[in-house]
Amino acid sequence: MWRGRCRRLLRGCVPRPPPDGPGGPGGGRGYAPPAERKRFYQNVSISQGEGGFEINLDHRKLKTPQAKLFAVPSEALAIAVATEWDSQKDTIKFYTMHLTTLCNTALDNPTQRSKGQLIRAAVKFLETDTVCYRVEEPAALAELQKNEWDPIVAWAEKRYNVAIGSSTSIMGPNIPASTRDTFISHLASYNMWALQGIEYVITQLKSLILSMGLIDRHITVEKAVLLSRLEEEYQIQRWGKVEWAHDYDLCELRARAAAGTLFVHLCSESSTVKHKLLQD
Amino acid sequence: MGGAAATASFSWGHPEARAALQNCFRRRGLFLRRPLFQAPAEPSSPGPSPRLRAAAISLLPAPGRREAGGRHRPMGVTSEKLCRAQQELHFQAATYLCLLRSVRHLAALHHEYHGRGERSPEEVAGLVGFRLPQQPGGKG
Repeated sequence: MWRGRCRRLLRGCVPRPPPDGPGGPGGGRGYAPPAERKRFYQNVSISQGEGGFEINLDHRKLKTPQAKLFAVPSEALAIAVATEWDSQKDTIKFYTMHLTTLCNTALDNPTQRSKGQLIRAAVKFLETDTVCYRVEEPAALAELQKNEWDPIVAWAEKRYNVAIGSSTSIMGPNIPASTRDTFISHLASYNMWALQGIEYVITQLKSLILSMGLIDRHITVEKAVLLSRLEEEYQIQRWGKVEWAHDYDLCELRARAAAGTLFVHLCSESSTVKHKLLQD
Repeated sequence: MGGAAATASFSWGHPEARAALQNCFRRRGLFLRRPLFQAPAEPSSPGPSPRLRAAAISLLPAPGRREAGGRHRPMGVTSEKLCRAQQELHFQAATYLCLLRSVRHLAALHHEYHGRGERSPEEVAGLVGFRLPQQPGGKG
């Protein structure tokens, strides 16, 4: 039974609540959040296999939710994933393990999208890009958007040699086809794993331009998240902050954007060591 | 009030962040010695004079300056070369730090504010000082 549960856990199944929950014998009305899995391993290490770098939890190899062997192409990424697993204390909190989730998505591809479909989904966000949608009132917010978002749009236009613009209408900016083609061909230069990461960051930040700024290392993660949540920050300054909602959203967005960016960079780079022979 | 652990401040030197960063980047040999120029060593002194060393250190790029200044190594040419842009490394380190910090902050907020579910019947009875009856044979 123990080995069976381990196997199921290693497959990454959603943990089920224990059968005799708080409402069980009494009447069955009580609700408890599903019991979290305890940490069942002592040591986490990485090893190199045929498909890439694998994670070992106490001699057992980590597997994805679809029972494939977890193998990543980059050693630094494997170390970061191992650190995530190692930093779980008594219970395993899957919602804090963003890099593991991204690797699982890249390995399993549960939505079964091809590279072209991923690129099209990413570029489609340009039509509804956050930094292109401006308000007219309140004037302070309009001014803030102009001051904060115009520079990043100008940077993107200059960097990719495209025309984007911004708009205050509900239809959004009119993106010319040449702009879209430029972005499609730019994104096509990334491999499948990096594209999964890029699409993830775009979906979280709700903006293609901000994501490109992050991927090109033009802005930091904190700045990108701030620009993405500009209106919320404005309202927080105006009306006050609710810690359990605003801070929670902010931290979650930062964690996801940072994980996505790190994932993209680690998947789209390669490092070699060249030994120079000593001259006698 | 004020979300307990959420107000803790994490600095760059936080042990866990530093350990994780080192774990992440140590193996790629990114903290190699940088090639420095050969300094003419005077025979009387054991190494280059402090003025010469300070001048050499001031010519180094910033991370190298930190390293060289911290370790006080004699200057020499190394055989290893770093082929990665400094800004790239700095950005990656800053991104990873942001990830670690925000995950920690999120876990603290979650622990502080997330619902713990309803109380069990035993706990509810205990609130008013009762205990549930124990039937040895189980419920009929």
